Amino acid sequence: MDDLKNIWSKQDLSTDQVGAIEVKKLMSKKAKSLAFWVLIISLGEFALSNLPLLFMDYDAAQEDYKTIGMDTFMNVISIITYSVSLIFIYLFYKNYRTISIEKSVKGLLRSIVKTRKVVKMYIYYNLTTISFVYLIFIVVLFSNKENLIHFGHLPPTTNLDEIWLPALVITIVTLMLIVGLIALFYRLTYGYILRRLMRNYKELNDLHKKKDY
Amino acid sequence: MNPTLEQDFLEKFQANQNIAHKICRAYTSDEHSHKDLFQEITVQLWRAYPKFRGEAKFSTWMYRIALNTAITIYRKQKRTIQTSTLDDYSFKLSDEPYDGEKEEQVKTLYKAINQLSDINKAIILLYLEDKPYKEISEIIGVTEVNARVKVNRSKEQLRKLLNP
Repeated sequence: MDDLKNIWSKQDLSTDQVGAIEVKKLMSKKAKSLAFWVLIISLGEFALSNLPLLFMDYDAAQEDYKTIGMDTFMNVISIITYSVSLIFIYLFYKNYRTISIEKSVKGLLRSIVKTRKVVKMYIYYNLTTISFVYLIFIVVLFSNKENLIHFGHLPPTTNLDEIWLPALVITIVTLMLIVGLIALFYRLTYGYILRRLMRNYKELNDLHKKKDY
Repeated sequence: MNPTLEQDFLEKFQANQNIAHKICRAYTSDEHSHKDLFQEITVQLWRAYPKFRGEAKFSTWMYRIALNTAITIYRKQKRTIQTSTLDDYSFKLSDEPYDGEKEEQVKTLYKAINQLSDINKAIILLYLEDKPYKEISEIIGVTEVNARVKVNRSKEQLRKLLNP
């Protein structure tokens, strides 16, 4: 066993050595990696939510919306949604960059608060927009029986009085399910990151408030 | 951030960083995990540093925090950790061909340590560092007598692994 101690004491660790600047960076890496994940998830979410558009017949969808007079509304909403999503992704990237280069604890605390605020805004904005657009859509679709026939491609002889209420219930339940699933997805991804950021914030803040500071 | 406290920590950490590297080598088997664990150890040490009152030696305190971190992470990842091959250790060795035999011996030793349980790894590390039983007991959080028993058991296991 003494031989082993001898081998152990003579091992070469020179390749592992880390400089002071690198250590300093490591000391604040938690918030950085969380901000990085916010950016990655938002990019993934953006890509994933637009993936179905590649397989969708845009003209046919546009025609359907036209029959109920919602084509302009949907186009405007699409432009707004894309623009706002891209603005949020840019803000996430900006927050990640700020956290990465931030040197002082005070600055880091400020960046964490800002990141949390932007993520929360993004969640509220998305859930509100989706609910709002769907609600408008439901109101337009169900306020006029003609709309239901056109949009649902139903035979003109359909007895609308029979299907109106079940169709409305199914649409509302579907809307609630979609919003619920998105909220669950946000809770599992951004919610988790928000909690971790909060913990990181508290730890850094405690450290900052220590008497010997 | 208090520059004095930060500077103080950095100096002590730099002077003792080999402790963290040896633990990383013992608890991980690839460069990526090594870096991850090293980062986690650094973060945990820095977070705990304001509470370090200098009652124990910095190295003893560092061993305790670093080993706790390694063991916690090791337990979390236990199910996914695969038995390492000899080649896994090549990343840790210097590119300079200065002493092939010595490097081979270190490699074999780490390979054997890597097969020990999380706690026994910690004990063998401290034993190889030539730490007195009193210090081992402080770091591991057991009595000195218990530390002696654990060291002997771990040594026996390591011996069997090296000379099957």
